[in-house]
Amino acid sequence: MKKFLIQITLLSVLLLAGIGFVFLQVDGYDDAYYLRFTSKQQESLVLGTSRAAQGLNPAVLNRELNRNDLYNYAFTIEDSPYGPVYLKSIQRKVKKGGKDGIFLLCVDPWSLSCRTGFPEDSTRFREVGSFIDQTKWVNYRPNGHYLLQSYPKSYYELLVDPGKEICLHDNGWLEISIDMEPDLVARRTVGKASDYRRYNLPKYRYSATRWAYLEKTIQWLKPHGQVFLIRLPVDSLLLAIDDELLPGFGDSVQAVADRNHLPFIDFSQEGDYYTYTDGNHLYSESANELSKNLAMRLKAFIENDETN
Amino acid sequence: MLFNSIDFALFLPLVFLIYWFGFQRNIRAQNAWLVIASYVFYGWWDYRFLSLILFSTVVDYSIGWFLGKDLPSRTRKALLWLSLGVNLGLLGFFKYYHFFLDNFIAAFRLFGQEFEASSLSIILPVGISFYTFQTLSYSIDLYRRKIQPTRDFLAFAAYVSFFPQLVAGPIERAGQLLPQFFFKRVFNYSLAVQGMRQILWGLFKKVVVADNAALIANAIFNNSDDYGGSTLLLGAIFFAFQIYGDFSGYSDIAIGTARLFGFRLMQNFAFPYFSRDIAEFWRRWHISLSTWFRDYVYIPLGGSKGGVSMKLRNTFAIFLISGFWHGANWTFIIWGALNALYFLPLLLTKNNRKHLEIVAYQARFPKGREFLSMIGTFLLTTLAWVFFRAENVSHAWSYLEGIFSMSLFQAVPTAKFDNFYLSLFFIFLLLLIEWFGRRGSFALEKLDFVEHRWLRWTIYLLLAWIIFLFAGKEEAFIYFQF
Repeated sequence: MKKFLIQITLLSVLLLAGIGFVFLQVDGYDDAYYLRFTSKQQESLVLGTSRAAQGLNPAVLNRELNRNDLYNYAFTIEDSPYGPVYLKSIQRKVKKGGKDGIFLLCVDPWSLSCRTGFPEDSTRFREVGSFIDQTKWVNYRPNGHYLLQSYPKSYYELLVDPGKEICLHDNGWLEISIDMEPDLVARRTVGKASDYRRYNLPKYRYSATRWAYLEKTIQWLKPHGQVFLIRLPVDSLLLAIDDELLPGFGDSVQAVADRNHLPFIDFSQEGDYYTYTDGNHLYSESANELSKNLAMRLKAFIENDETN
Repeated sequence: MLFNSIDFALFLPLVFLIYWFGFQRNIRAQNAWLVIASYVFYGWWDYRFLSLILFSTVVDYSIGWFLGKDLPSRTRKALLWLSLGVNLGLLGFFKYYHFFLDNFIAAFRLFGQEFEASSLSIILPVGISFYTFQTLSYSIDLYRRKIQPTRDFLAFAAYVSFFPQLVAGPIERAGQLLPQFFFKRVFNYSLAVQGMRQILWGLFKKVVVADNAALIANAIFNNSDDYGGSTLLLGAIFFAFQIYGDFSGYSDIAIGTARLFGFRLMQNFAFPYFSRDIAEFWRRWHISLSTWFRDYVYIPLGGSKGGVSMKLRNTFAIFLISGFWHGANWTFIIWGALNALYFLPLLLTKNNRKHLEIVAYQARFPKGREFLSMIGTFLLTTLAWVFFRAENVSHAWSYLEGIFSMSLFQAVPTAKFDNFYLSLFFIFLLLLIEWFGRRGSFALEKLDFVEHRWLRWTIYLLLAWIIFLFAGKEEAFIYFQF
């Protein structure tokens, strides 16, 4: 028995050492989410879906706001709509005892709707069982928990060059580098709008539970700093679909903002000023520009708040 | 709990250490620990299923207790029917309720009658077909007085729920497995080493071969209208290796795990894709189920004795029941019937027991004719797998029509499939290693021939590394649904 255990232990140690070595190689080019689960707990967060993940660059925001603590913790329409799962993950990520943070909650109709036939049953929400739900530890590196449970590909791909198309920065901002030739962009935009219209729009519906969770998230974050509601710009084709899904969405968000005494900054009518990779996600240059514009408006609110 | 999960990777060492260090001197304590571990293992899916397995255990233990008594034959027969009724009733309800309901409605509709039936939301308990057959064999063998009933409820519960083989076999007979719960189990180094080797090999087959082949098979089967014959044939071949890697991989892990605890389970797969005819294939594929049907269905029906019509009836009966056992869908029944059709010519010409030994037993490579027979048998089984994999009968037919068309000679658009060549390489590696290991009970059994320990260790480590690096997306074992 002793011999067997020594051999198995030795073999396991060699195997685990190799696994550790591979896991330490993972960077922002390998996976679009991993690094967000490896950074320390944060004082200030950008929250929302992939629109926010790609659309708000904390580096620009920090520079403009004279801060160094903003971190992008937004994921996807599939995994991080507002609900109990995302709230739990946010609670894990926010630094305990922090009071001076800022929290930018990006909202869109999809992040406040459900794809299930039971829109008020949070146990059936689409993000239940997703990597956000599965990843219970969100701030250590290497994060074996995430890589073992949720990394979607074979691990050998971590050892080969993944290319430079996707880059998750250390501050959580997701930068996508693809061909921005106008014809291609137009084709991708039409394709994305068509997919949303065909596959998403008929399935999604309003969920009061998600709206309630948006307010719960706000309430939970308020003691940790200032909370802002943000609506990011999209191409007019996508905006039209957004409006079809939840007509009067802006007014509903404004009502939430008023109820909770916080600002709502709406960029949805400024969509034409920016460029997108596919109509839905801001191109990196536009993301930087928008981040700068947002920082200006935030500054006004923050200064006003300080004066009062 | 899946064998290829982190949960199991933590569960197994814990159960192993407590089993050997906590209860080494006490068989009853070891059995109790195995029952607890097995119930945790099974309850990991859904704790509600535990009541079923407990119910099945209590019923068959009690019936077995009475069957051991000196009772009139009519009473004994009634007890056997009770066991059959309870076990098959459970199986029928959980597995076949919707199948029968849907077919009744369809039959009524044929005669112009609309029939409304209330449907129930029934979840199929994992592995119910396996443990039901295992407990049934206990009652039948007791009735036939082949074995003695056990008085030890704990040992019986451990036999029914033994976690390594609980959810997908091998389906063990009481006469083979139950006595092992009464003998003192002492840690056996070489048995444990063999067990670890078999687990390693099983994991390679499951997570590297099957899960990677699944990506391609799924892509082709799920979009079969988009592809020509050559690609469809390739999809069926990838599925053939997916199901083999998946199920035989599971069996290897199960047998290997049992060895770690000092138990010997029966061989479930004996290199079936090296078979030279379909009869040999069925002696080598899912052996525990084939022999179960042989002993409890085929032989009681008269076996291969009697006239041609009886042989025909019995052969079809066993294959159709086997198909139906796999799932409540006509595709499985047709799959069974197709295999019966393949088998019949061999039976009628008395060539069904021509190849009892593994191919090229005394040689390194097969003869040309043997090789061609192996290829032919493999292609026949692959075509039958189309029914096994298809969503429904019409999908299977259209898939086969697609294969047997002029597009069979088109080039395969390999670039469309991720990891196509990698998956093909692993299939080749599997076949190569299995070929050289085909005289053992599993491919790596005879690895002792590698004299240098450091070389054996290098092989283990390399295999473990391949498993880690090239594991496909975690998929549940196909046979769990049965």
